[in-house]
Amino acid sequence: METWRLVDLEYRDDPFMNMSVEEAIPRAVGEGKAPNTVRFWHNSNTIVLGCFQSAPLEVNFDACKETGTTVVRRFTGGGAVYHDAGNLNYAISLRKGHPLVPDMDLQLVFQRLSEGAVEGLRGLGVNAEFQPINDIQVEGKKVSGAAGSIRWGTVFHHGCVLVASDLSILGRVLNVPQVKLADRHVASVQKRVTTIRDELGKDVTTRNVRDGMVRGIESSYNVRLEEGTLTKTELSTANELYDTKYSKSAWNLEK
Amino acid sequence: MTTKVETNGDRNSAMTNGGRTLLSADYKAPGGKLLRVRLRETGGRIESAKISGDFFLIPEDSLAKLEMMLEDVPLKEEELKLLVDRFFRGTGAQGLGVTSDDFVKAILAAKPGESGF
Repeated sequence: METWRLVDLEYRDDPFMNMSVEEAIPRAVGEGKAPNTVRFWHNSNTIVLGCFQSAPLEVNFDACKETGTTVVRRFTGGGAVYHDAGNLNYAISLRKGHPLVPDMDLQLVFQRLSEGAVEGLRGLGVNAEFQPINDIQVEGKKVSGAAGSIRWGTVFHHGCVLVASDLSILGRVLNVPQVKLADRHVASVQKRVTTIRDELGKDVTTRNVRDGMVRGIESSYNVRLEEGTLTKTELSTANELYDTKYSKSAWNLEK
Repeated sequence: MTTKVETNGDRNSAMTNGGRTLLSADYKAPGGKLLRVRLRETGGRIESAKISGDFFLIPEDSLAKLEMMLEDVPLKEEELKLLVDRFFRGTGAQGLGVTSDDFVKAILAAKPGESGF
């Protein structure tokens, strides 16, 4: 049975460092300097923009100020998400050519690499299913969104799971364009998303969900996750990315 | 789940200043993602283009190349189609939630009179 590295490294109060680590891992995996890896992590109040999104169009900066929300841009496409301590992030980095994701079709990557999360959530009693293009839904409501890329010799997939997030802040800090709401026939962000806590109708921690997803990933892909740490190379790459990219407003805000 | 909505120009706007027009449009690809286009247009040609949105495109840095290729191109369907197709063929870029056709429609949606404003 194949073994993947399991990393729980996070910087809850430093979303810029979290994002630097997020990029450092797939870079190292693709170069053969780190094993295939699953990472779980949290951010405190943060908007994470997709790499193609315009910050002024997507972000309500006044609401960010009032709620103490930081804005950071990720290196993958897709839409803006709101992270808080009730939101669990996961990332999977597999060396390009891995038999789980043999072809380079991004839609298939999202589908295949969401299966572990879906199975993990089902194990917790949530009726989760993958919804193309990049969502996991429960009874028609989004509970998780994913993004990813094939880059640096790595197939990379990451997503966030709304476990017990404050959806009222989510609705305030992001501007949702009218055309998007019209297309989905729903009135607001809050009505088309849900949390694991609300679906289960009981208190559940992000740790419970992380443990469930570890089991889901292990059984879906027939792998064993072994706890590990970042290599020195990864840490120095992360520090460099922090200094040159993720702590800079030129990267985060100027598009 | 998916609805057929062709052009959705609720944010479309145009501002003219000394022969140069600033145009913008939001275009939601049917069953796909959102493309937000901002253009500077002079004499029927694109002077510069900025495309943003929640779509996927790999390699990611190819978007800047598309924006560059759009400079000085007539704001006309046939020309834009040829150019966007050439971009995808030439770069081998892969879109998800957006097609080559969606990029063309999104750019055209910014053109005054194209989406009923």
